[in-house]
Amino acid sequence: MAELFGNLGNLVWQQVVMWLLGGVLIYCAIYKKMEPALLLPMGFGAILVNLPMSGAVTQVYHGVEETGALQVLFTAGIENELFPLLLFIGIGAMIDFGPLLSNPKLMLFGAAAQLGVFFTLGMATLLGFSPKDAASIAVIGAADGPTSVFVASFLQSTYLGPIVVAAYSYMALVPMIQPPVIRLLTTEAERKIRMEAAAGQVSRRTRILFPILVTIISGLVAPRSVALIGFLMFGNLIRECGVLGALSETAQKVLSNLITLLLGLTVAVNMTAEAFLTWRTLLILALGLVAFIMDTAGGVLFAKAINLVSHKKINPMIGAAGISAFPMAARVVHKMGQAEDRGNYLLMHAVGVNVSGQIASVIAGGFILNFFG
Amino acid sequence: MHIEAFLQVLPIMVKGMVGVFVVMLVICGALVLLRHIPPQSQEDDTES
Repeated sequence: MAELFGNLGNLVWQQVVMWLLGGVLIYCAIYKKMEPALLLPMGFGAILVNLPMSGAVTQVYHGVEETGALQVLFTAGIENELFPLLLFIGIGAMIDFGPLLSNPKLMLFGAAAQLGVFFTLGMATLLGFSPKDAASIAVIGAADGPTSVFVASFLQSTYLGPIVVAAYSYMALVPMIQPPVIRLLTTEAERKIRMEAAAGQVSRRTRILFPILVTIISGLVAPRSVALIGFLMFGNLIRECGVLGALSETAQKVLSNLITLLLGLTVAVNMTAEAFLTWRTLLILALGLVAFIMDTAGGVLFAKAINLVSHKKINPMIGAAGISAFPMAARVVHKMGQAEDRGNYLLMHAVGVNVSGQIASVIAGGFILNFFG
Repeated sequence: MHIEAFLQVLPIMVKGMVGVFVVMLVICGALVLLRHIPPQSQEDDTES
């Protein structure tokens, strides 16, 4: 009997807490539809790695080290940043930059909404995190899961688990986080500002040259962003070139789904009880929330600043869509606009800002790597 | 509170934010220029 149930003696209460946390993630994924493709594998992974002497992670049995399957995946896909990069090809293939290309000035709103990244960098440093950990935590503000995974693993942060949980959870919570911040920073009259549809049309040549241009320009300024931005833009080039339909479809569906599945499960390697259940995890979750709030504020305040000098008024709510969490942020802004004035259609403007945020967040991640890598 | 470490990282925060704006501004400028080049063939024509 001792041989059969001996392992029960290895169980500690912290592991049970992690099972519960895993259960919460699975519940949120299934019943609350919060980023289910990622939170469900992460939740299950959290249970896998927190079983006593779990064979899913590396353990020492009778003095001999046995490498766990999740550890193999972690080394092969996250430690060398491969999974987030491959995921970026799929994301690039999914994004239609059309609304941004027809109104290029929306680019600047995406930049403004990266305020949360650099603000959180300062806050995390102030709270005593090491420079590399603070930089990794700051990138939660990129509101872009693969960028967070890429930067945190590149900088070898010990907090990869909490960072990824925070990044994906807050992305799913954008509809709850953004509206109060937007309402606080805007007046009712501002929220009712109508915006004309952008008249500009986009040629096929522009769509094809855009990803190449973005890669060259950002690569020249922030060379460490080349892998990130390059894979994202390569995915977009596959989509827009018009001759690789099958590859584009594969990248959008099969590749993205497969990598998301593996990414979620593999990230859980860093969710062992001893690594996760620390007061610093709570601090990271709080800092992540600050990052999202400051991103939203940055975008909205930038739009208000533009209105001070521009004759053509912009609805400042669209600035909040620069947070990158695609496409939730754009939907939130559109819904808020409709709630104020049913005839106000902000969706295309918000989507334009949203995809500019996607580019800006990757560039912000590249700068962080340049400074701390 | 680690004020000294914060003061060290402050210039990086500013440089990073300015850097993102500059890159996005350059891309925006390049895009505006690109849109002003007339199409040379039917394939380049407006699509959407």
